[in-house]
Amino acid sequence: MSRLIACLPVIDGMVVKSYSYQSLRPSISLGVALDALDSWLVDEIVVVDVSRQPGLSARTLRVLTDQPLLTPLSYGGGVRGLDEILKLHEAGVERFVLEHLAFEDLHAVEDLASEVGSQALIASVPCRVEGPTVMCAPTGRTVGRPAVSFLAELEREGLFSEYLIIDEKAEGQLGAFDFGIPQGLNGGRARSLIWFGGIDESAARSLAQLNVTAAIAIGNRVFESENPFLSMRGQ
Amino acid sequence: MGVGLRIGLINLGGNLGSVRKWLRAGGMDPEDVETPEGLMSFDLIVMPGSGNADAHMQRLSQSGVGESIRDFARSNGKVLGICLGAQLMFEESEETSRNLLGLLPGKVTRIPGESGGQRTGWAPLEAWSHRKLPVRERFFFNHSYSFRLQTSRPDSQSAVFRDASLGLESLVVGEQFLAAQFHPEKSQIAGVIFREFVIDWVRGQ
Repeated sequence: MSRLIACLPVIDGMVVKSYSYQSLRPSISLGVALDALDSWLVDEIVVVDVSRQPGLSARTLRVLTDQPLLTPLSYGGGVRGLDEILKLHEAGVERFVLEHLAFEDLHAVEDLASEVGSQALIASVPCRVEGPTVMCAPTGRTVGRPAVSFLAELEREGLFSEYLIIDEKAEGQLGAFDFGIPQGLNGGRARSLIWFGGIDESAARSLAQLNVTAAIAIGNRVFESENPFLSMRGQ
Repeated sequence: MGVGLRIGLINLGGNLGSVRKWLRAGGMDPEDVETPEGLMSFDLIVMPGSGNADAHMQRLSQSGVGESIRDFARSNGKVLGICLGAQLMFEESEETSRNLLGLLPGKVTRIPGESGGQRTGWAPLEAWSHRKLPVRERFFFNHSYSFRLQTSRPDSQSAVFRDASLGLESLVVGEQFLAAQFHPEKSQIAGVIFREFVIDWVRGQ
């Protein structure tokens, strides 16, 4: 059965509402969000620092350290080396989502895998459909490469346990997930895929049927729906 | 008020922080163990772990903590192993050429290929109960290797419980040793129940 993952974009201890990682606004305190999700028994929580700052936010790290979480926790954003990983491990993070290292420095990933195990590493792969091809590139880069061959290369290296496939155009837009992405990746070597970006209930049910689906990640909309002031302001 | 048990937490890196928080939430105050001294004074040694068996066994050997754990076990001390920590309790592993701690007879092998060679997911245990009530809640697993107790040996007087998903050995319960392939510290309700089980088990209840 596919796992259901709650994905929280955060900046400095605050969960933010994100639209294709371009428009960000504060949503809810990270500690409150973690408490709620832990109680709601989601299968896993992924905290992603979207600040694009190097290193770890001290405030985010403090929240994670203080949180007595009983749900598996993964973290991504700004993880560049063992120093960050050791601090996050101590704070209660089990697995680490790597994006720029996955695209640009597999030797560094190999060093991390030898220390924490490939079981603890997830590759983040932002994707978009360009014509007949699914292309991928790290966040913020416009020039991509074919995702099928990139994932096959990562699979051969055996450095990651799973791959977080992000529909970067659909992120933040409920119901906008592009099924051209799983169709384009169909038949590729990579087997354990986590889908993310604009996934509604109908899309989740369809994605759960795919053999390659390990998990489905849902973003921050759950807390947004509980904020009545947003609709009053017409947002 | 604590539960009155002295818990030694072997520092193998990895999920130490999570396990520490899980134990503390249950009224236990674990002490980190990084040197061989003082192990004998604990009621329970906990070996968490994630990562690489070879690297961890090298650290245990070089620090002398590995031999102290064996001494602790020979003096009838109780040991709980979690995930990689549980695997290290056995004799040998396909992941490393080094001898493991040898507290339990058996070996550690790669998860069968039809599972993709690794498992990240949730599953309940088959036929496991606590305080005479069946436990159907799910545990969280994240591993590439799996232990197998050699039950034909006289030193293997333990009950073995498999998970209801892949059918792999997931919990070994003996008088002196508990080996848990899953992560109780991240298994939500099942992990809370397992923590109570551990306390009862240490107390011999």
